[in-house]
Amino acid sequence: MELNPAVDIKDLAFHFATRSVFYGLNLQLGPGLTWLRGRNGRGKTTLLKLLGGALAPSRGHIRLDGLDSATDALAYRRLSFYCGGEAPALDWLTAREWLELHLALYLDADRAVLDRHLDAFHVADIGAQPVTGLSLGQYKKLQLAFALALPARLLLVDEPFNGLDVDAVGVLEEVLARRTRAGTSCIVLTSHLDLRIAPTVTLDLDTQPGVL
Amino acid sequence: MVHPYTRFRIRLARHAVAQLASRLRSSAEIAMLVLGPMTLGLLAFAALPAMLAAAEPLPFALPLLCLHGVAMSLPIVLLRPRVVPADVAAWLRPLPVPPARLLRAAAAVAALLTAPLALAYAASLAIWLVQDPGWMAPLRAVGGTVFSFLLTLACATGLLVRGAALPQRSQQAPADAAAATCPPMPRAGWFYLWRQLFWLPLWRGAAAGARQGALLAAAIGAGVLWMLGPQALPRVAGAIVTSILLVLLAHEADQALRRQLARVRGLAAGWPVDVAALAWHARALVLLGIALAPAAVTATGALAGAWHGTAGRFYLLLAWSVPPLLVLTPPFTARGRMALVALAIMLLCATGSQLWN
Repeated sequence: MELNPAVDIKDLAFHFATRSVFYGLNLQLGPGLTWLRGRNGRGKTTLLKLLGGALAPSRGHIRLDGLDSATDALAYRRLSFYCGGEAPALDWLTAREWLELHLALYLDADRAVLDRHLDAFHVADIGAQPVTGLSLGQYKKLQLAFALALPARLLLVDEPFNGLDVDAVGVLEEVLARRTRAGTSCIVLTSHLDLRIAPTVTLDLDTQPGVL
Repeated sequence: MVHPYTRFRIRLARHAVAQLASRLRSSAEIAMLVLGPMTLGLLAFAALPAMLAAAEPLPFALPLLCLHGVAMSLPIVLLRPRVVPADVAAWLRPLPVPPARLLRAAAAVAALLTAPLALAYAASLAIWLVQDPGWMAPLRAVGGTVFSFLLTLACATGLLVRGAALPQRSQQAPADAAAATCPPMPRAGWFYLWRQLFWLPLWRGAAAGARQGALLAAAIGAGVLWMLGPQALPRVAGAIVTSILLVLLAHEADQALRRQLARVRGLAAGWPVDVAALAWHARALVLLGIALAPAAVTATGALAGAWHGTAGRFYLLLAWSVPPLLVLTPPFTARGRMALVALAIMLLCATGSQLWN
């Protein structure tokens, strides 16, 4: 594996049943923090889900360190993680079960780091609560604590600051800045708010060719 | 002029009924094809319990009629989540609707939902009044049936008011829910994934697990009774009930699995897990669970010497092959699936009823 992660998007097309989102999109993403911007409905979340392997391209390729998201799907997904969604998925689980399931799926998560992030976000004692009973901010913190404990080469974070309290925003910014400096992962982040940490690259979907 | 709130509640109820009717259309078509004349005959018996109760002396008649009236309102408990879906109830409850308006709206919805029952009662009453059997006192029969229906309507209204009114104040503080978020031991493996993704959803916030548990217990109980052959239960009745329950158990478990698989496929699209392999494991474990029922029937049947003849061996073959057939075949259309279920029930009933001939 290369020291620096590289994401290569070639000739990407993606359509929903009612509209097309991308056609002929070409992008290269490198290590560091990529700030993905754009108006509502431009396809930021769709692009993150495509990059995370949760959606399949209609045409074209997405490659992470040479692994194709469609043909090497499992290996690709082990190296990437999509952190987003404000309505709790897996709504029958408690917070601890949610975390336990994700730890079972991503075996290389760093448990010490996870413990540290749960503490820092003040969500270390909500294990017995059902995920549907968590507030928006608590659910977001749970996802972020797990995402940041993964040695993911490609970390996709959708609107991470929505619903977070001031302390949590500070913690998140500090961790993101540290990972950006380390340069061992490619972080793609969407946010409508101006970032207080310097992004490595800003990618504006409003002006990007291939975005419909 | 109907108040917009009442109009909205009625529209919501009509939508729910239409949705349910479209879901049941395929099953109803098959049921009518197979059991058509019997279904029409059952209609004549709709008001019979109330009429029989009304024929008793008043001190016995009243409690029986009350029990009947309340029991007939119980399907509203099952219908309520459709008539007032949770997401609608969440924004319906804070609306500034006076209690009298809420009651009127609930009564209108209850009338809409119980109207088919009223029609069935009317048809049944008319049939029995024309027949005029010796035990029936016509006035008391009509009065008893109307009383029972009004009680059903009142209970249905009460249940619907509870569904749309402000949530009840919780009486008890919850136990301290603070518990460590980070699990102490990492777990992995297919069985663990199946438990978290397929087993727990059956029981948490859903009735599917309880339904399957009840069907499994009923199928085992009916099968054991059939094989033991008590005097009170004709063998043919045992064969029919056991066969129906065996197929319904497999169908229910299969439907629940397919629904959950559709949910999990969406969620697991980005996970580093082979969803197809996970689905096969889930199917295998569902079949293992269902197998308890045919296993119990096979074991008690062996003790009762039921499997010696051709019919016995053919019944065993069918009882063991129907669950995998339902779980492993593609869903086709809803109508095709119901036809398959009806065919399996008919074959099992026909073979089962020949066992002691």
